[in-house]
Amino acid sequence: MLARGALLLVLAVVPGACSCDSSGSPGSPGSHTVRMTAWTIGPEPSSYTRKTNLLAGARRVERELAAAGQGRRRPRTIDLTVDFATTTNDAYARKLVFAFASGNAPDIVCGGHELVGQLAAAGRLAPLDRLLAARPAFANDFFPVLWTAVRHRGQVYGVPQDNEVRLTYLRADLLRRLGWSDAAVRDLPDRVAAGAFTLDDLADLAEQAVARRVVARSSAIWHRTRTGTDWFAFLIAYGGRLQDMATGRLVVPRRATLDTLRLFDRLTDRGATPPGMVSYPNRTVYAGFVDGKVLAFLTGGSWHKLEWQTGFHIDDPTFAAEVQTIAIPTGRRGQPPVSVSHPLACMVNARAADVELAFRVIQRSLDPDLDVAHALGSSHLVVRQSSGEDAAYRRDPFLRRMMQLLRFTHFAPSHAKLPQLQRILFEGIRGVEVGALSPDEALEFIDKVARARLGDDVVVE
Amino acid sequence: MARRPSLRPRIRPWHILLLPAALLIVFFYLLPAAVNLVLAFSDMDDSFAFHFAGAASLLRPLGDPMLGTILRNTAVFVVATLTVMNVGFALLLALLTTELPDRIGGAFRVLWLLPRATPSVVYVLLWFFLLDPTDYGLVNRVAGALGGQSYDLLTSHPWLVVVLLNGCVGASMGMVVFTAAIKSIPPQLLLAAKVDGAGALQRIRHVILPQIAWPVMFVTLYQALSLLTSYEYILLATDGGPFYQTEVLSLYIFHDAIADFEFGYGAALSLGLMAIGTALAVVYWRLSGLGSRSAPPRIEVDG
Repeated sequence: MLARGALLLVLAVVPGACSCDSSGSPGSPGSHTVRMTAWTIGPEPSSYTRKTNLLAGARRVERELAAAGQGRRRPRTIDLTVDFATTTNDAYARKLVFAFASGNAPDIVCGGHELVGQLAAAGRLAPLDRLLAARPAFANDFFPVLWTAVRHRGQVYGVPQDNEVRLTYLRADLLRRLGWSDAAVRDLPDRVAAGAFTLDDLADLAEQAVARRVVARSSAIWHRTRTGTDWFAFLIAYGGRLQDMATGRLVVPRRATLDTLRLFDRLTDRGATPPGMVSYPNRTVYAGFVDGKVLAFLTGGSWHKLEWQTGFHIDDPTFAAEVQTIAIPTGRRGQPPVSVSHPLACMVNARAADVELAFRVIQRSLDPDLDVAHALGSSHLVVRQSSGEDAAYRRDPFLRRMMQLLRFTHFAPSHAKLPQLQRILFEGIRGVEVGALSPDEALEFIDKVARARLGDDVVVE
Repeated sequence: MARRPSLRPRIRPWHILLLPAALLIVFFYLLPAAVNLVLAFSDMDDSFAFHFAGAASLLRPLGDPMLGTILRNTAVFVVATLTVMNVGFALLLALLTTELPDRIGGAFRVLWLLPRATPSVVYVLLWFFLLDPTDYGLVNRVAGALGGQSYDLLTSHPWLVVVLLNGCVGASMGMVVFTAAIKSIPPQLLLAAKVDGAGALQRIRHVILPQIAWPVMFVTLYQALSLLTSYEYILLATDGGPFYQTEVLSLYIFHDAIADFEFGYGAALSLGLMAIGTALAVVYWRLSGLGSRSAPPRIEVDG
């Protein structure tokens, strides 16, 4: 009797507790509503279209279902709730991990592509290969390189949502004050692309700017203040690799790491970069560059343009006239420069009640018109080749320039322990900048801590 | 015929009265400690899979190259914040405000309670407005207006910032306790000292401090244990930087267990923190004779 009571109680409670369920819709007899949740992140507010596109995708799928519901299948509505986070990527990843562990994860997860490695390794994500294979026109329309960013151990676990490039922003007005002609400023991206302008040249330029009082001491080169994939760009720029493709293990390339550490040591030691750069609030860093007080923002992203325009009031003509964009210069003369892409991916919870329906919502949220709207509204790049043909998109000079930088791009490895390695590298650079460690000591720190903390997941070479 | 003693335990009223507190202790102290102990023997990560890794997992922190730095930082943080702010400054506030008329002294004490009442993120943001390393910061703006240079105190003097920032919150508790203790000193003792010609400092040294020794010792122990596990303000202000200079053990555990999802390793470190806290409490209890000072009253009143 007691057992039956408990069972009834469970049966009564469980449907309400499910994140994705079906129920009769009071408004339309015979139809039913599918409840679905999705989480996505900016963190910049200008990327809010990540949320609105998912909602628009759900509406479009609904219409498809309604059209198909003339026959035996009942028409359905999708009650999609989308949460848009403006927190840091680290905090978002933490929230996701705990949500998955506690059974409260959403059906659709959008986030940095590195989450694929982290979540797929733990069996949290549904593989999407079968669903993609059934939709070749959709799958083949993506820029092919993007699929490598959402693959884990040979399987696809996400659909690229947008793309971006990491680059260096320079103040053209300050370059002119240093005696650069308009032509020299204009040709700089080509020199960077040809490997004729290196990180050492950039450091020389910064020292000149300080020496000639074009900028204040420690205001020549600023960079991001958090851990992230950007820091790997320097290892690549100095000829390092990040992953051993044969074994899948992460790599700490000692020579390239040391060169990277020496670069940041030089920048802080000679007054180009403040020793406490990483303690600067983002607001201060952005304002410094937008206000024309800083020569270069070394580790920018394509989205920064719109973030600065909306948050720091630099209009399009001023941006075009006063800001030059280059790929992150190479560390080795004659070699190509570097960019790191950090595409966002939409993934489906392996426990979603209807994986295929969740996938269809993602698919329609990436229709070319929505893909373009997000790109134009947030300074990101489209993921579909047909979106790239859009007239408005092609007219945007900034996005056109960003597309050119894509040829230098690299992706961070898909590995569950990548965030830890990022943090260890970041701490090493931070140690050098504040003068707590010499570059050699910082290299030993990175080597020792990476081995101690990552064990067999990392190889130091 | 004598009645046989009942085998059923007798439920007395005080059992029921103790029950809420007992449940609280079991669920929020003993149970987490037990879970932590079990986790410490595992290598649990973000997959949340429990693999028993034995003593090797428990001893893993001993091979951590950063552990020495972290323990040293923890000692610096606890000792500096405790002595300078949580006890020292709190005592100063209590002494000064009790010397003032009640309404004015009370108003000052309310002001010093504001940091504790302010949400931690807002509180730290206010400090950032003050200490922004560029000329956007208030301190640098004032320094610039006076012809001075810019300061980046978060980088050049991180401990100063961390101790002040934590201490301004922590001092309020000591202030309240010490104020109550000072106000409970029989006024005739202070008046007698005055009549005998004792100055303010002599009254503090020879009358007030001996009378409030027990609250001072209690606050010292309580705040020491509290600081050992406190990391929230450091996380928000410096995140342990620059380069581990303000990374204390509790923050290190947060970074390992929560940021890096090394739950097993974080649990092993937490076990160490619990051992340090317990040892500290026992040693302090013995050395200070705190137990004998809080002996039960000798008069028992039957209801």
